[in-house]
Amino acid sequence: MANSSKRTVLVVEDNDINREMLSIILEDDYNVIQAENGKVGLDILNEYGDKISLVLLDINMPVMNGYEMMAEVQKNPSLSHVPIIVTTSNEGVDEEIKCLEQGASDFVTKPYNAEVVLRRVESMIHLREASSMVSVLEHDMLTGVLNREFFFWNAEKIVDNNTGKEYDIVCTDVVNFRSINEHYGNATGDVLLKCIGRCIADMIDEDELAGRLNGDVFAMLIKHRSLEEHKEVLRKLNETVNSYDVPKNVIKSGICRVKPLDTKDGKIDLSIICDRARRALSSVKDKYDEDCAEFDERVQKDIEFEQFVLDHMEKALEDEEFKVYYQPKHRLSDGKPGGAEALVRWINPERGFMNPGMFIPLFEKSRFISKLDMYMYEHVCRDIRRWIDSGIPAVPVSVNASRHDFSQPDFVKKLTALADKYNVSHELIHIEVTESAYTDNAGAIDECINKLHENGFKVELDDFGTGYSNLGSLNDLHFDVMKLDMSLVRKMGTDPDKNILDFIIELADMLHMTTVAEGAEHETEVKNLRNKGCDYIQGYYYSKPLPEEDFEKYLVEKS
Amino acid sequence: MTVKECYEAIGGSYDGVMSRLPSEALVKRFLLKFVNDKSFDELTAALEAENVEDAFRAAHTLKGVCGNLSLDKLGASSIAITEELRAGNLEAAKPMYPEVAANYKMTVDAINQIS
Repeated sequence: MANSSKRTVLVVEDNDINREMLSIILEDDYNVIQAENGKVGLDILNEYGDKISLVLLDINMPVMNGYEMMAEVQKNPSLSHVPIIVTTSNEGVDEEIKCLEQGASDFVTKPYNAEVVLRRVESMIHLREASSMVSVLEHDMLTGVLNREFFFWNAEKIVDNNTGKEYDIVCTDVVNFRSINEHYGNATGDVLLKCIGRCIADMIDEDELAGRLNGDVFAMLIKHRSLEEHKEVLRKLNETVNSYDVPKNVIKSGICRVKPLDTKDGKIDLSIICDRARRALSSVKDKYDEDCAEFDERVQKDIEFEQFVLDHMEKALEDEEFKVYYQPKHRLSDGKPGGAEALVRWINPERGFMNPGMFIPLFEKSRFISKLDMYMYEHVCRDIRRWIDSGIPAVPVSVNASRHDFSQPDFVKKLTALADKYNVSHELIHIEVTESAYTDNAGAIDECINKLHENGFKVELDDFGTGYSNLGSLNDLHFDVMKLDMSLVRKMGTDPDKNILDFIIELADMLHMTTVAEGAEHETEVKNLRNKGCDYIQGYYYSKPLPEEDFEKYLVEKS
Repeated sequence: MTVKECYEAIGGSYDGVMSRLPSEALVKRFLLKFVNDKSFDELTAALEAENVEDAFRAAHTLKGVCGNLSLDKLGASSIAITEELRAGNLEAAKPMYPEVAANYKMTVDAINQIS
């Protein structure tokens, strides 16, 4: 029975006497396991794994000799760190060199000298353990590559000491790693990470580095190569990793050239370069046909733009750089304007005209969107007031509300206050909710809708046809207006008679909802919609979104 | 016969083996084991079957064990036949076998006399 405080040595030797001799030499200080050929030795190694501190291996054995066994061991990422001392017959340096090349850490010659054998074994085990202690500090415990701090520390040294050489930083991650963990369990996820770490470490040269930054993100400092070469290397990495017994996975990579960010001071900041590599990585995250990207001008511009937006949005709000544009909604019965949708545009002194698609997603991330929404509501109320005062027939205006608005407890109160401040009748203000925002948070929104109705405001369901509405719940909703998404209108074009639009318009009718078709551009579309009983049209057929002054004129003209 | 006397009788090096192994008791133990070692029998069988590879391996192993136990005389004849077999010269090796066999017998007989 193995003594658990002694380390364990595996002796692989086919001759009984030799094997027994080695065992006896070792048995006072170690637990000894014996194997009579390479195959048995391999089986034992696989079974005991980490518990074996060292292997004493003979070269000449039947079934599987020492070279073959070492080759097999090298293939297995979790075994290849076990030190192997080869017993050689002292037949020359060539055999010894070959052993060392094949993965042996040291050799002892026959005839065995008991003391020499003991010392070599002890020394090798001690060395391995000591280096793994230091390793623990420098290396990531799980995967064996450098941990984050040491990766950067070493990378900086290498770059500084090699000013003539060109390097790239490559960052990789596993697509949907979280799903892999959830599906297979964390233990299997860890095995995958270990495997990736091992494969990456094998891939790089002596003077290159591999590290694990966090989670499933690995980083490498490698000598510069072309994007095509990077792609080929990544392809091989994916192939190699998936050849092991791990869940099927896809590894993507982002690359950034190592060079000074600011050519004036010439300093190289590797953590920023790493961030850029990760930016490039995230730019291919959702792409099906691209696994690898280099940080370039376009990615750089995206970052700069994002920074610009975040830096300037507050001031832009103060300075009223956000303008309200109005897109008219026309009644199909008499063709006259019966409403409008308020849409935001950003006109910035530096960047000029910006469409909402460019900045709204960023605002939504930071909740600044709620401030912008309030700004919009106020401007709309102000504009309606002005129209009324000028004798222009005012029409209801719908304004988009974001999800964040509905989670504000005093949203309706604030809206009411604004409308009252400008003495605007509440029915003139419509709040638009998209179908997808609604289905995500039906409970909170329903409550809000009730409050809005109690206060006399109307509610429009936007982009209907793009989400996953529970038709049954439409009944409970009490939306006042249903806006039919452009895609439904487009599809109608291909076969006006066999079309879901008829059903939807009838449904809306039954629920006493007014219908507005968005995005109508052609005469035929308008005609078809009128025939189907749609109430309003909002689209380029009539007008694009107009700045306030132009919309005022439009109202006067068209009413 | 003592272990030391045995070594003298078989042309082995008592001092040699004692310099490498920790105790005489251990040496004795292995000498007794050597009697049951299969290498010589395997060599015999392989030569008869004219299987050069197996014969080489057996001779090589025998050589190694002799080295470990400092059975110098037997070891020397093993070395010679091993080299011929390594080169694949079955015809040159065969005539060397009788000397190996004789040394083997002498060695085993002496070991059997250790008290």
